[in-house]
Amino acid sequence: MSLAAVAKETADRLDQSRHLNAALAWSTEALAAEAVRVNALGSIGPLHGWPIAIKDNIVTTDLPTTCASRMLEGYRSPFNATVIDRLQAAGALVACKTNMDEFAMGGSTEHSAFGRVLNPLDPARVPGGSSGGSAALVAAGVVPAALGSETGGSVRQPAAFCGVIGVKPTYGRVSRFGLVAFGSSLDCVSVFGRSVDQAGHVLVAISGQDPLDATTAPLPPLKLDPTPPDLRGVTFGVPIEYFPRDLHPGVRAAMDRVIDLVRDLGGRIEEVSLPHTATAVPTYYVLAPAEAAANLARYDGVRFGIRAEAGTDVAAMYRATRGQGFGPEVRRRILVGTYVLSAGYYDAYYGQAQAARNRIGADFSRLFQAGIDLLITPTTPTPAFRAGDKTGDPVSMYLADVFVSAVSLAGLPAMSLPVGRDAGLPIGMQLVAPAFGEARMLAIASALEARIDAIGEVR
Amino acid sequence: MTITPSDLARLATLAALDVPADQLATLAAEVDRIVSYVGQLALGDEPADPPAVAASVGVRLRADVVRPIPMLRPLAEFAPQFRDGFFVVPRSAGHGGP
Repeated sequence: MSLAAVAKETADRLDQSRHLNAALAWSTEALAAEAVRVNALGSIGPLHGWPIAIKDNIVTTDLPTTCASRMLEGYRSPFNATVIDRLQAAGALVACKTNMDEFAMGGSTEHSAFGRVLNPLDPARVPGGSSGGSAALVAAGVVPAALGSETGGSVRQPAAFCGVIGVKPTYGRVSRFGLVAFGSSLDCVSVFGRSVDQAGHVLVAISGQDPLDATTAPLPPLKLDPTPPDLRGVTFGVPIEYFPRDLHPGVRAAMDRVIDLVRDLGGRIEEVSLPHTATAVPTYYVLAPAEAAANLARYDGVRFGIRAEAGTDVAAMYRATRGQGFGPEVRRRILVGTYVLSAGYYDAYYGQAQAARNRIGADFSRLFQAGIDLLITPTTPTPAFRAGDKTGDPVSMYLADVFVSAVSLAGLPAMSLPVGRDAGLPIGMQLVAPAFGEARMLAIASALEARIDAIGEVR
Repeated sequence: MTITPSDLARLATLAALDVPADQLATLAAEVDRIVSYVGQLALGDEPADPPAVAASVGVRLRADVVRPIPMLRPLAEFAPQFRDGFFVVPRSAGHGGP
């Protein structure tokens, strides 16, 4: 198939999937221009002709970047994110910008200023978030892969809800240059794919040190492990804290089935403990809002996006712009972040959360140093929930991240792999690896993917 | 912990965020619910762990050595001519002609 035909077919699929509200910006002309650009590269890159959807908090010169916020409506970046330059150099076509929770704050993609995203498997349910648009487009077969971003599980959780692969790399593996900042000590560009192999190839293309991001690790780009994976001799830790009594029975059945499969393939299963797991969500919801309150201070109506009319006082213009431009969840998090950083409360909240983060990281380090190769957990405590179920109580929405936020705080690589369905809804299994252990994690995930019935009912 | 509407108004001022008066009470209750939830993080006297995030493994600190800054050079090198502490520029019209 020619690149022009790929571009046309992708545009047709995007058109047919409009009802999902998953894509915010795309055009047949822009896709055709992408095909012409790739043709002119003069070489066949590793992602030659792959249409890839891009979360709308990753800046692109050819399409607007809004972070699904009124604050940035119509904003167009003067430069590309490093990951966009790398995808394009590898021969990929930027397919579209995808809907998301505003400024990546949310777990259901209901907090977008441009309307909620529908889960392609059940439109009454959420696709997860905050990268819900990217997950939905991969699940609907519109694109083979997509970029999302993680601050606290925003790729793994929607991957689980939509039944696709979601890979979060080690913090520092992929450049954040051009990723709109939310929680800078946590943010990671991450990848969705329909298969482990597809997600792995995209991750390879975007990984590696970047002089424009001082937090990238001084390591060469990721190399996938070409050796056939053999689970004999691999020790999988199963942390007891991730299997509470009230775990959804469908999730438990799926995990039991996977653990049996690992044993059948020769892997060793060891019950382990991550004792500070219960502190992960509250820790995250101190640190991430604190960083967000600082990072989002730049949206003041002067340099980016909208500007409210508010008399002659510049401070009043700042306040009016921010009050009108930010949606309810972003406002809540800015206020919580301001509170936990304010005089008199800093030590009680931010200081405690920093100490808790260290303890959470130490929990993982102890296990990996003791010989655990990978951890296996459910990605989410339940399958995708119904739209509107959690919007009335922010804390109940936050608790949907209970199995993904600790990994983000520790900066470790992890992924979600679909491992079966319950009443038609996908269930995700999470693999967690030591820092910079992506290649082995992907190889083992690939071996499991080949044996798991990812779309069969688990009970 | 209870965050009152007046506490919230103060936070909104600190955050440079207009909150309409009729939304103060609702937003105060929501923020209070979140702050109460994260307040469970009282860790007591557990010994502190060193930072254990992956970033500290992968990202090494730069060597603490002074390196020349590209723009840090004598002022005279920024212009074609420099004399007695002044940049020499062409005479412009209207400035002390014959």
